[in-house]
Amino acid sequence: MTVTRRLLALVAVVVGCLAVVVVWLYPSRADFNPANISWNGLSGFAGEYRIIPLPSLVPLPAHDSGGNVLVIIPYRPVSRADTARIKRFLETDGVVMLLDDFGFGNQVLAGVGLSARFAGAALLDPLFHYKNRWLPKIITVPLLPSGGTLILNHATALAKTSGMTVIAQSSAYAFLDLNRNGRADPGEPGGPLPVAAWERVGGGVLVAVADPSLLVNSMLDLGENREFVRRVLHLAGEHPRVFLDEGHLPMTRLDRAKVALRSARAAITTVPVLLMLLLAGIMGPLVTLFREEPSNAGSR
Amino acid sequence: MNAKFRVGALVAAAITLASGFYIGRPARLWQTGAVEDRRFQVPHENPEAAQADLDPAVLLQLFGDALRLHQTQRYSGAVFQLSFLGQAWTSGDVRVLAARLGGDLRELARNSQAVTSDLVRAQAARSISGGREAEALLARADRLLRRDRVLLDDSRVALRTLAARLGIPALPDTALARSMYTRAEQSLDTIDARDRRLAALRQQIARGVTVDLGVRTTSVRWSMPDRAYLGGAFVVSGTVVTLGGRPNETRRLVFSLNDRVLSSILSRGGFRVTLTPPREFPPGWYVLSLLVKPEDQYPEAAETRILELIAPPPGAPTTVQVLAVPMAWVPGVIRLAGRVSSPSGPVTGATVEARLGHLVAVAASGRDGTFTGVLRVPLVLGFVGPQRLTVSAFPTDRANAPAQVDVRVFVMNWLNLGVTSVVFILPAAVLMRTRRRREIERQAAEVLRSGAALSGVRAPVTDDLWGADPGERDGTSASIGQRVIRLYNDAVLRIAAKTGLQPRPHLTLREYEGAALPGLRGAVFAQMTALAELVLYSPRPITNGMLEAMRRFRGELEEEFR
Repeated sequence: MTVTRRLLALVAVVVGCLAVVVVWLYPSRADFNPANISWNGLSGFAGEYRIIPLPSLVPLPAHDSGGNVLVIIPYRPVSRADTARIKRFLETDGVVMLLDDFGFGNQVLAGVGLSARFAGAALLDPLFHYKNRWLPKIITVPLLPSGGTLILNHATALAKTSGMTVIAQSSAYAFLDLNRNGRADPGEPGGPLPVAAWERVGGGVLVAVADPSLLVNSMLDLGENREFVRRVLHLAGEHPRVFLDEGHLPMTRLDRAKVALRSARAAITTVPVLLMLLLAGIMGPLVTLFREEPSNAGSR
Repeated sequence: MNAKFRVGALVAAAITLASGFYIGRPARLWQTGAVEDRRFQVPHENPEAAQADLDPAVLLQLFGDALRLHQTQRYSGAVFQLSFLGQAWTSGDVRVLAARLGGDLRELARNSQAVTSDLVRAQAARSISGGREAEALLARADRLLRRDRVLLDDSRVALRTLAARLGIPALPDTALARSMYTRAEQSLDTIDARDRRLAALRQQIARGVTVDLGVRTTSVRWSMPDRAYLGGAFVVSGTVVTLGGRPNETRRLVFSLNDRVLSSILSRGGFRVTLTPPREFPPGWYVLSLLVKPEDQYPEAAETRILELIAPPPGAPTTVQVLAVPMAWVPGVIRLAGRVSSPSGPVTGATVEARLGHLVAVAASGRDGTFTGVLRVPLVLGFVGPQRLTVSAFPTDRANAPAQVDVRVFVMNWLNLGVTSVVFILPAAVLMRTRRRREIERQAAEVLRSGAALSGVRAPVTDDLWGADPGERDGTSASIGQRVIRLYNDAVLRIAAKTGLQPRPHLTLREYEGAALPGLRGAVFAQMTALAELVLYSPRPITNGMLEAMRRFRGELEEEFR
């Protein structure tokens, strides 16, 4: 019986260790994950700008944010506390690059007091596109040198941008596919439609871009996407410090497990816990060594 | 131990695999094509793997062809083509159309409106050199502008170029020209907000491609009898024909008799259906409607015929006798044979239809009224047990009424048998094995319990203890194990009497043996202890050899104590 319990305990420990190793080492495939090297990851963008991933917006600088850029891709609901932190970041000269298409970007826009909204319908362009209409080519980009174009990937458009400076606009043949049939039907808004715009908020700038896929590895080298991103980030200066909000990115179970492991490691590597583990590691063998064996000496 | 280790390893492997699958499965990757626009799921696709849509150059080709047609006064054709362009609807049909009508189009530089304008100007110049009246040309251009289906910036350039070459001032002299020009300007102001740049690529067009103008039509060729008997079935058959579509498209057909729906079927090109008029319909003329439902871009089609319902002649009942096998295996065939007859004799040429669920077989009766048929039954899970086979006969002459008979067929299904075996027999086998194992364990436990209970038996210590076998002395027919343990107990008592070392409840056999060892000369008691442990705790079967061994050890111990 004792042997079976020991065996099960050993098996559990081995399985646990194996699981930890697998979870730690298995590469992430989540969309917009900075560690994801696949076509849908942000490893290229993260490496080029040495971004600082933030599991939450709590550690976001709240004073003198000049020179800092916060990149947000809100695919999860944004709380009021977070929108307040974003607003505070903007008011202290920070630059916010808000990329959204069908997520929760409108919560951020409303939270910082802007009237613009992400349209939430797919922007298709049957004439100016890369390979198919769901990859529209944005041909009017005042932010880029003449002739510069952007290639988007299942993007949307911005609505109610009065008061904002439009920095990228689709062709006249683009339209918002409200009924998702892939065709331009009567009543569907036609181009040109704004896809990127910015506005001053406090001392900072909020740049709204209607397609987060602009930053993924497979899109960054299409058109002049990379140059567009560089120019937006350099609104915060020549050497901006770029934060990436990871707390609102879509996460797979693997990513959640990785985050949990990182948190656990962070907790374990504190000085008090390390000291306790060290103590346990030393005392354990000593106790075993000096524990008296039940002897037969009385009978001999 | 080995069995436990194997079980532990299997459990560990299963847990690891399950955890790895649960945690490590990758996020869904969109590869190509249509994407669902759903919140909480990122809609984007790998651009390198994306499917290519229609080449925009095709649209430009359409525009060029439209201009060419315009130049040659084929305006309706030009407008027709421009309607595609204006709607910015890029379908495969457009591609085919352009492939057929287009020739080589001069390559247009990217975003180069100047090149496009040159092209337009050249065509406008050709029009002018043909002696065309400016006003008439303006009128034609105006018609196009009104429809708002033209790349008006190019037409605007064409208009201005034309006006410049003809020396027409900003406001033409004639009232008609003035009004048309005003309307054109107003339209252009509206269109001005649009993008004027055009992307262009060179398109090499293959020749001889069949034109597909995107026209879709549906028609149906069908046949039915002119009359049917009241309450009697009749057969309608035919083919659905689609123009411009794929052959054998699946379409839904709805049959109605005077707006009373009789049947709704799915047809894949050809169809054949048996309809039965409602019994309450009196004799007379009725309209049988056949409606082919629309599907995707294929329109519906509707046809009507006149059907006369007549009362069957009295005294001419028709009988159908069917010989069918009472049982059929799936997959397999059901062979039918029978005869259609009436009081006046066999019914020749009657259509016989056998229906088993959704399966249908059709035959015809011969000169002697007999018929044979084969119903092929595919492998379908769930198609098992008693089934009703309906055989209907439809005589062709009016003297005989249709008839119908139901036959019972028991269907045996290999697939069902297999599934049943897996579902019931396997668990039953596992259950039986588990019960057997538990029975063996219970029996072993019984032996152990009986042996262990006796380990505390205290026999009185007497000098003639070693004189006889305890089992025989007690006069009881104890099991082998009990007798082995009894011999061991006697030895313990003897040693206790000899050494003064009493067995305590907290001491195991081994511990007692270790404590008693110094008082003994040999190792025979150790051997007895080992054998007693074997009998008490091991799952091995207890044999007579063990009893003999214990007796031998006891004899040796006896020698030792003498």
